[in-house]
Amino acid sequence: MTAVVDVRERGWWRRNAIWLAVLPLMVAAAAAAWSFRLMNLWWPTELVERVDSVGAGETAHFVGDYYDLGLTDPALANTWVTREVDVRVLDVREVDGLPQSVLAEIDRIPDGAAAWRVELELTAEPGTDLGLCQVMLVTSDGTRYGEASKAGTRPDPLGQGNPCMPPDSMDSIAPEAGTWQVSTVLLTRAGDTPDEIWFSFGNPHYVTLDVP
Amino acid sequence: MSRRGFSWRTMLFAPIAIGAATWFVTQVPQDTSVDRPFEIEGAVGETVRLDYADLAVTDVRVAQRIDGEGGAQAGGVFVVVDAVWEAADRTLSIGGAELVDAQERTHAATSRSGCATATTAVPAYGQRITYCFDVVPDALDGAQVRLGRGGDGEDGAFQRRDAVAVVDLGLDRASLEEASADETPLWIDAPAPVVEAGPGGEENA
Repeated sequence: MTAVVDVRERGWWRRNAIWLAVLPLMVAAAAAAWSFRLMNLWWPTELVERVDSVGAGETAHFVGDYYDLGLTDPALANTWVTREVDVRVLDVREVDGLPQSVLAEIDRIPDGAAAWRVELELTAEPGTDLGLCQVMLVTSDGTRYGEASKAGTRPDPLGQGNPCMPPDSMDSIAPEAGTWQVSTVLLTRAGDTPDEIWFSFGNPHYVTLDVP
Repeated sequence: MSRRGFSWRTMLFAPIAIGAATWFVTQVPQDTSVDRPFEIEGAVGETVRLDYADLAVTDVRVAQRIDGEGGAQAGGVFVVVDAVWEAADRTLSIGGAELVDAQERTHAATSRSGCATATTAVPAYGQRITYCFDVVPDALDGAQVRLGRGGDGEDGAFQRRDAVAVVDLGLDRASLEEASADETPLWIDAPAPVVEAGPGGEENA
């Protein structure tokens, strides 16, 4: 009995002295465990910077810097360029067929998959470089359909061109019209219903738009 | 407490703390539990569920010659492994492919004659890929493939603490005799999306 009383008399700080001493070490260990995420601050290899997020039918404003190698416009070689594009979702609907293309690896909807047509309205200053444009369908559990591979080397298996460009365009430069509409088809697992569209030109910037 | 008292305690305890921390780190078993990949075992024809993708090894064949993008004659014998990858929730690069035999010798996949060593997996549908391994004949008994998204790095660095599928190929000496009897080169298809479901899947032409 006396021993119990003694322990109580020692006070909370003294009784927990060992745990208090260990606590900073545990905090340091936890910080070390997630520190790999800090890499995204200076070398973002993922879509980590959500620039804008809008509801159904609203217009998202994409702004992102990229380092131009001058492949399209030699005057911009080795400079940082700010790309600004407004994007609005006009329609997202499930379709029964796939676009016909001689470049397609897939010419009919794979078993267990579903095809969705996404129609967008884009606005950008004429001459804006829209290379590496990506349109993704994202479900509520975070599955991203239509994301380009990291290496960026895999062509669209449906044989579609740049999803930001009108179908007959030969390059990736924003047309003179300033505002134009595009349509692209993406595959998801059958039964999955997309909640959001993600729009990006590669890491790290992207915008999200709710599906109407 | 005086400034001086703080100072001598620091001088006494800091080296002890650093020494203790160093000793602790050296006690951590780094070669086994800390950096080993999470191996998930499967068999030919089964789907192995990794946290980032589903993998099915659909067929295993043994051949002396293969043909695809130009033919190739095996230095030992070719083990040809057909697999289908489907990513869980995002587009992935799949780069890890090695064959480990019963003596724990590791054989890297070859890119000869159109055999693939890496692919890109997406959610929504499977991606079929054919791996080829040129191995010494006595490596067939008990051979397993280790397939994962991390590459083969010398020290397995890209598979550290990541899921890797380990699939027993069910090969033995008889497989070699069959391969030796058949002179016809085995045709290697290029990687392609799987359009038709079913055992092995049927890729789009």
